[in-house]
Amino acid sequence: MDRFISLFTIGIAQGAIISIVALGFLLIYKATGVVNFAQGDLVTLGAYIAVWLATDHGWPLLGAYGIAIVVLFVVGVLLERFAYAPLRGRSIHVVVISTLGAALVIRAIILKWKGPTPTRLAGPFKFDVVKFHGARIPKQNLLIIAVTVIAVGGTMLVFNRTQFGRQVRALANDRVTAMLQGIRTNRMSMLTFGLSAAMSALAGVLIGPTRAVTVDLGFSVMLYAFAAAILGGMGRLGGVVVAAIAIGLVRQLGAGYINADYAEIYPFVLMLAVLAVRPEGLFGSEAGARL
Amino acid sequence: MKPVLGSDVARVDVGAGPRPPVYRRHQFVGVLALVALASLLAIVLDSAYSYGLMASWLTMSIVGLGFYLVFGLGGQFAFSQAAFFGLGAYSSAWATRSLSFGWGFLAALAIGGGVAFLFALLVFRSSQFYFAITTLAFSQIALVVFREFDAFTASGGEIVGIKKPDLAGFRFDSDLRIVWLLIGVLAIALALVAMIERSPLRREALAVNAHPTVAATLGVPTGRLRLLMFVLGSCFAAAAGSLQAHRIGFISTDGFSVGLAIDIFLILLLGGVSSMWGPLIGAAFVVLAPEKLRFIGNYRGLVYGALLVVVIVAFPKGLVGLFESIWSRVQRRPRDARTGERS
Repeated sequence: MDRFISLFTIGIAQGAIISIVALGFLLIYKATGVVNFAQGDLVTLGAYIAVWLATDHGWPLLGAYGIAIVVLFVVGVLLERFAYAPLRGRSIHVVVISTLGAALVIRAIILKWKGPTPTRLAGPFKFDVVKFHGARIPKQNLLIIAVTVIAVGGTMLVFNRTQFGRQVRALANDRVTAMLQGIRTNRMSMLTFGLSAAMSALAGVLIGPTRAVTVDLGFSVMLYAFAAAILGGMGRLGGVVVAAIAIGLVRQLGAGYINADYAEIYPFVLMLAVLAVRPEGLFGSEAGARL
Repeated sequence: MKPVLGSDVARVDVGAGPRPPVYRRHQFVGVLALVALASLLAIVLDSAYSYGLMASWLTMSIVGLGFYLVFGLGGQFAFSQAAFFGLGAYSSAWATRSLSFGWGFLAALAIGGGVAFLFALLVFRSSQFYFAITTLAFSQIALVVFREFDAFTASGGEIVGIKKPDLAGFRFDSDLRIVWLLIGVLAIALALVAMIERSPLRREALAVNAHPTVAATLGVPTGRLRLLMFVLGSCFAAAAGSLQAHRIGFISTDGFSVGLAIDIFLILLLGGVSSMWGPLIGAAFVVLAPEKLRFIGNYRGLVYGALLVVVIVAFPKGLVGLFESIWSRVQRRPRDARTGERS
């Protein structure tokens, strides 16, 4: 039982991080139709900026985390200006390849800046654990879950209850009509890229303390986030969050009870199995997603 | 060769006007010229280093040609080419534990093609973007399987001492002989692609690419066509993987990561996505650039990333398209905008 509880909470925590990244990815996708392949490297960049401030310069953790998130917001806006704005109106293939190029550039810059040696990001709890029915649960995991609940709840509120959210939904629904109604698409896409990158940074500083920080940190998270977005059908945000949690759980429980060597691939196998049965994802309705 | 590349999509829309030529000609002349050129190069070169570079170029050209079928003609955003390259390498190494190279090569083709077919069947009903992500997921699955499935690969996915290729008693045991073998396989691959280029398959594939719904209403079997292009292109990658494994004699999972998938994208986009000759040029760049231009070796990611963006923004037809527009400038004979023919 303690083993199950321990695996279960790790799975939920990983799923929580995946859900933050997936929501960030979905935000850009909904507002602009772009599949952003740089999302993972934004997660990595966020974690590295926090490492740089907290470890190399001795900043207080909260400040380092906050600055990382703010900086990434700016990076997201720059990404929109350089990799997306000049290409508006071009085929979506072109834009996607351009985000791929941006991902390569960000990764190369991180490598030049910090080198290939893994580093560590300090967390607020060191390695403190909470005991629960014999299971030892790292406090960091509880923090991840708590922050995610707030972040995801906030995103949903913004998405469903504010003017900004309504505009994003309008763009997702029918881009041309939304523009004709006077939605400032230019500002919207800058804002969504910035917010999405800031969410990536949040995911980066949350996941950083749980593992070694390398340039590959964000890549696997991004793949799981993609899988979550697909499983959730790119539709309702709630569906994507459920899918993200499911992916975290499948990975951990699979690692614990089936075979740990293959842990990485259980979520992908799940995704392929679901797509084979439901090509539009679990909760999806738009099988003809853009791209 | 008559350069009317990439204008076929527009042609689908053209109703009236002079009929464009049904098939592009002279591909086989091009194939022969290229093989002659490569042979000459093989004779002129004399160091193990240059043979190695040339062999890499030939191998990556085969992979790139396969990706031309998948992405250029089939229009499918796939990251799986690197994984199929690896699958071919591991399959071949596995089969040649007890059998000869010929069987290993066939095993690479059969396993690569079979897995591509099954994978495509699983996810083909999904949309383009879903397909792209599933190929990325497939690559990750393949990497983990290479690393962990010891009965098929080896401990940690590292295999050493793979035997040199041999065919019907003839052993390709020197660098030069292997280059000849690679030239032979590339010639076959080019001939196959040239046959596709000359057949209605090319036009149908481009029509599916541009207007899937219209193509379907005109009776083009869209699903089957995409499936065919994907499986065929993946087989090319698997074949190249087999050759790579037997040439170098050593494989590990590092060689088949997503980094290679991005290199393959660059090979096709830089060379020219709408021409079968594009991958040859792109492969030459990707193989030679890090060797000849040291600064590119140091800033590989930066340069490749920037190049991807610049090429896709400024030269959507790649270097082949660039050569063409320079050539038509030189000739000072503007092309007919509608048919792409020179006036």
